[in-house]
Amino acid sequence: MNYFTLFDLPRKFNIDKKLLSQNFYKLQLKFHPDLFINDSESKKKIILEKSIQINKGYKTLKNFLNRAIYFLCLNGYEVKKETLLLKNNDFLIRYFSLYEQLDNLKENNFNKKELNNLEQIIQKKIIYCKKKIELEFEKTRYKKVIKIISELLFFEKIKDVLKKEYNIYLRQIN
Amino acid sequence: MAYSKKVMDHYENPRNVGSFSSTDLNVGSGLVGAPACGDVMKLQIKVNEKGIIEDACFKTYGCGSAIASSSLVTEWVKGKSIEEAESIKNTTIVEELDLPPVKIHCSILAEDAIKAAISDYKRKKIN
Repeated sequence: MNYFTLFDLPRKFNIDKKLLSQNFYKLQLKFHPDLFINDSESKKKIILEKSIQINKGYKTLKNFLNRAIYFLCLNGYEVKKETLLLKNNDFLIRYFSLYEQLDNLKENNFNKKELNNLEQIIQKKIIYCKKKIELEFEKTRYKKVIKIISELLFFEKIKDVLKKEYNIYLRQIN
Repeated sequence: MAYSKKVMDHYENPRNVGSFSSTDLNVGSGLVGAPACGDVMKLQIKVNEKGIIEDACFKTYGCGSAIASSSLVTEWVKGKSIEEAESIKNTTIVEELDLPPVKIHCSILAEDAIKAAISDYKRKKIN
């Protein structure tokens, strides 16, 4: 059973998150292993597996990227994140220059204005990627989605790096 | 996870960090990235008339293994012909740096970076 069916959601990339949470808690209550302690071993095993599936499914659908990768898989496009690779393209050039901006920022002791600026640039790109993924899914252009997922992964990474570097800087000055 | 001594050495004292002008005709630039870890690697070579790589440099934003892999490759390719440099395999990088399985993709990235730099150089020569 696919996760959309499991949580009684229409098989569409965009989901009603509130409904997902509601149905998740309903299922969790219904299949919680603690409710079956007096049942047979085989029944307990089935319930445990069901409970694992419910938790896994919830984690998959709740998260934008995981849901995108899962939805691609349901449509016959298996994406292994580890095997994605980009070469000499315009996107990488722009991404690389964001890192150079981060280097400058470090040299300028995280100048507030520049920091905000870089954070905003990255955040805008993340929002843009997500919107585009939703749009391409609607148009069932799965190959395009895969390409944008790569870009989104990169932006999420640099967002993390920026946060980490800034925290290191803050610890140093205090 | 602990890095090997060799990785630590390259990480703490990276060789040949820097960049060449990518518009230079005898410079080949390779820029590669792996979305899963977000690492991005720029590797450049400077080739003389005899087809020998005179100089190489890199700039990598990523984990210790990615930095070490690219640093090592710049050391290796210096003085080599482009044909020799083209034949560098990621497995040799893995052996030299003692990379664990989860970091093999860093060596693949470095192999792809040198290949991309060479093909960029060749493309420039033809045009």
